[in-house]
Amino acid sequence: MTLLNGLLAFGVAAFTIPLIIHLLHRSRYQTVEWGAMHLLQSSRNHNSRRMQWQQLLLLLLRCALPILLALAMARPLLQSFLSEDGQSAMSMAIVLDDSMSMFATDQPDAREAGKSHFSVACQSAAEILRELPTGSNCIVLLGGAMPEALTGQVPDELASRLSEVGKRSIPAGEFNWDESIQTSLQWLATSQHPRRHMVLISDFQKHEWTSILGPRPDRNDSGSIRPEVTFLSVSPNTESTTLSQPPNLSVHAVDVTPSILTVERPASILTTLGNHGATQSDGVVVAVFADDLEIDRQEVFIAATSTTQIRSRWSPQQTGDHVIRVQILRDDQLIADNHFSTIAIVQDPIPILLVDGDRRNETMQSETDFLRLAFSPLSLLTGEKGDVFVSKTITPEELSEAILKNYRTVCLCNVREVNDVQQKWLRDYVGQGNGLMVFLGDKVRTEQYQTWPTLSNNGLRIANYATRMKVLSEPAESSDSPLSSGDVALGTGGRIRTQQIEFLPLREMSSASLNSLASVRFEYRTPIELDPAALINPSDASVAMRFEDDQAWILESKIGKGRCLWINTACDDDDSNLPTRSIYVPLVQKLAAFVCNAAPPDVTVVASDRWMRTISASKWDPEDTTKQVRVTKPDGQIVTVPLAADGKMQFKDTRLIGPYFATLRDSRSNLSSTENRRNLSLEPVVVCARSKDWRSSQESNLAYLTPGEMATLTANCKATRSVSARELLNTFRLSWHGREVWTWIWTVLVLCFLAEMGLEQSLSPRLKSKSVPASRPSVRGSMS
Amino acid sequence: MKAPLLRWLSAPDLSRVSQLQLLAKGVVEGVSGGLHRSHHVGSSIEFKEHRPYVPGDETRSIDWKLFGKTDRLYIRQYEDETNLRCTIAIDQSGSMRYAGSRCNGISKHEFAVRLAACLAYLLVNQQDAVGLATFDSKIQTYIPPRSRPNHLQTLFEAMSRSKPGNETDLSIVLQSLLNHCKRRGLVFLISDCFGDAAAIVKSLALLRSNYQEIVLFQIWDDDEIDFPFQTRTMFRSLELESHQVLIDPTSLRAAYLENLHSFRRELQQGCMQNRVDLVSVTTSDSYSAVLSNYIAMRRNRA
Repeated sequence: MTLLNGLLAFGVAAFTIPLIIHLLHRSRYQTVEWGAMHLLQSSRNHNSRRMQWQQLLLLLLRCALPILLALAMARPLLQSFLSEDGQSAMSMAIVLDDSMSMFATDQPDAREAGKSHFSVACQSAAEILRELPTGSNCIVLLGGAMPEALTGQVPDELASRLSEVGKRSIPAGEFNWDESIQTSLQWLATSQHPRRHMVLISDFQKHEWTSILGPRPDRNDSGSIRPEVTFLSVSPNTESTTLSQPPNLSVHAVDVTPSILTVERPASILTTLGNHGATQSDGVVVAVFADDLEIDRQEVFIAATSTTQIRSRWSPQQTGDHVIRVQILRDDQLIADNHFSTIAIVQDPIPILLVDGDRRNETMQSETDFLRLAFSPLSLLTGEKGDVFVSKTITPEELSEAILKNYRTVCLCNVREVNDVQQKWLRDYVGQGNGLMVFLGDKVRTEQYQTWPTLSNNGLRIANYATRMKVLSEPAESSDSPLSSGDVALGTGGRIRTQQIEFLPLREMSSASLNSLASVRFEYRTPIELDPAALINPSDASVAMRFEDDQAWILESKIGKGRCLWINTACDDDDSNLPTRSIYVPLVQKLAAFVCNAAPPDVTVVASDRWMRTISASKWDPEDTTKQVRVTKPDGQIVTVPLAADGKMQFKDTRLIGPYFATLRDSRSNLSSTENRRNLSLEPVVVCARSKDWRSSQESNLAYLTPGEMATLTANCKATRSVSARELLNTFRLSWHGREVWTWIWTVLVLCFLAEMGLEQSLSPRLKSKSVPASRPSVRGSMS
Repeated sequence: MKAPLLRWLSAPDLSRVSQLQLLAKGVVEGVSGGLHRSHHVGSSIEFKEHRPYVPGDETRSIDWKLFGKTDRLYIRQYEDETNLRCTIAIDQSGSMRYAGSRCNGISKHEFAVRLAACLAYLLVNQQDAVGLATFDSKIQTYIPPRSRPNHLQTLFEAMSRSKPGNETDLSIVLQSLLNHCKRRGLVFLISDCFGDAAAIVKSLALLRSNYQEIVLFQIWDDDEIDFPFQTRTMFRSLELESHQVLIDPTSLRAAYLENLHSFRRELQQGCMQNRVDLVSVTTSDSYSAVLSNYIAMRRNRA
């Protein structure tokens, strides 16, 4: 039995008052010297037992009155007669929404006190757990992004943990209610207790639940006990379905371009800001920080229910990982979305080795002159720093194994032939993760290339080579052809197929914008045809780009950890007008970056996605079996992740939003050294909460389900609804222990009171004297 | 020290009692002449009967007229008128010591003594012989009946010495009273008659069969009649100190009154069967009034 007003139950002790009065009354009596003892004794013998029972009954009634009164005021709950007792153990699963919207606050004073919806939810969950009957088992699922289970031996232990979790200010990804509910239902299905409850505590954002406001089938598996489901809403109870007041500003996204950053190469930081309120926001101050150093501050105007973008410029001064953070300097309902962080990885220029097969002394006559200019345009044309690549040109004869070690990509430009040794060097070089680009020009002896060992034979060749040929001509399409007036119109073999480019690095060049590949015309080419016999697996090589006559232009092959590109045209202007086009520079840079894996790893993953990285072999000793990666989570928690033998790291716990930093932990390293620590640090990654359409920033839209919609949702899910933990606990107590019985107790109390009065009156001497009148003696008496 | 008579009887009481005249209902056997009929023949003017002369009779008693008519000697006998032999028996058991709250401090024993004094005064004044017996479990004091006026002083002194205190068994006392009352007479029994009613009735019958007219004054206190106690009370026996009961009077009152009614009814029926006058009085009554009322009622019935 549970008492709703437990303190009043102490009033039960008042039963001692009539008891004490009774005992005192018993101890006090008068003494009378009496003569008619024979009349008294017989009366006493006759009635004493009955009178003792009556007195005892009267005493019990008088003691019962304060007890019943105290119990009635304490509002007891009568347990179910079917249950073994009112405090029988049960299984409780609490799904706790810890998405970003839960960190909103309703009132400014609550904001100052740090009392967000999430902290209220944690307090409510802790309160529920502390009220659980002894022996109950429970689980708390943090439902943001990837549900995380908090388990404990006893509910009180979980409640203590929840109190700590409630102080957290780092939100998780979007509320994954579906998986959370499924997980909790599965956990409840394995529970041994017949009484099972699931409580879902959330702010019930509109966008999360709209999908199930319609009729929904019962998902409970047959054969298992259906748990009782209760929705506890911590959001403001309002009928308003419009936007929140005051407006909630947020930083939707931060993009840093270009993707490959080098020292002093100007970068552009594009920030998307949103206003989720119904009123415009003037004078919104936005600050941009790079490594906590403010690099830009702007004051912007954001119209109601709209987004705007600001652009900031940033020139990195050193290589390494830089945290770019954009902060709105204004407090609103949801502070957690007022800042957004991303990672910019600045690296040294990528060294590229150009092997020139047609080297000449005249300017721009050598085979690699155009390539060299495309790789280092800033330094060669303006003398500035900031080039992504740095190149060096050698002759084919200078190609050696030693020189290859200093470069990440080798370009064989119209090289007549490559001897077997050099082939082997190149094969090993690519296999170690480097890149190789082969441009086939007029100097190339295709017969010799045809003799190269195939990929299946531990070689490089993947195709069959034909003799260089001139592309068939075609009539000019229009007078505004990009070709000069002196060019001869070429056939369909002279155009690059730009529709539906599947080759990832060049996909964005398929657009019809200016300077796209569509304006490039080819006059000669060396036909190459992919040789399936040369491959171990068909997926090892493919045609990356084609001409419009469906002949291959670029072949791609994967060799070990590296890549190799075969381009069947020259890299200068002998075979086409490509080098003279502005598309040439980004084209060759993208190809080179692709072939040597120069692009930085994706610095943004969806919350709950795995963070996978392959650690460069140069940073760890393959022989060391104790290698580990220490990951620092956004909340400061450090997690150690084992590193696989191939250097791959997988980190799964990415449910919290914010930057994650990883550091290689090597027993050989002296971590006290800053240099060593820097060398051993991996590329950090920022994990963002986002859905497929993540730029809409639904979590920042603080629109909640209306009471009517909540009622519909509750009905569809066959659940009950509460607006506070206290109400929920009262509902639980009714469910756990039965119904309130204070009315019954009041009835018994009144009956006891009436019985006491009746018994008291029946024992009253005054009434007795009326019922049995004493006969006065008369002088008349009896006279014979 | 005030004379015993004046101590117990006030002047109005004496005045009132002196005007009364108590007559025996039946024949009595006194030792001197008086108001009451005697079963002995005497020299009064009331002719009773003739009997044959036997040698030894006084010759002056021979009815010579009848001898002339019948030629036989007959003795002429007249009824004798004698005084009354009364014995007043006062119960001085412990139960008579009770004095309730509504009796002006007069215990049952004191009331009995005063009533006995009135009776003695009345009877002595009408030349009757009055004796006294005080008893508890046995007869403690016995004064044979005398009709001399100074005998009254003897009786009062004996009454003043009477102190209640012991147990009583009225049936035994009445049987032992037979030894003292061998002649016809009147016995005034003043007692509360607490005890076995059947045994008392049986003893009264035995005394009655010995030609004793019995008037039983049963003395009650008002508290014994209506049992007015409200709070828890320890009742200690006036006769046996070790006997005490702690009860709630309110719960026992009905049963007590029922027992009282049964006791009185049984005693009353027994007295009626044995032609014993039972006069129940309470200590709150005036003893002179009680006595005058009783005598008036007795005269009316005669």
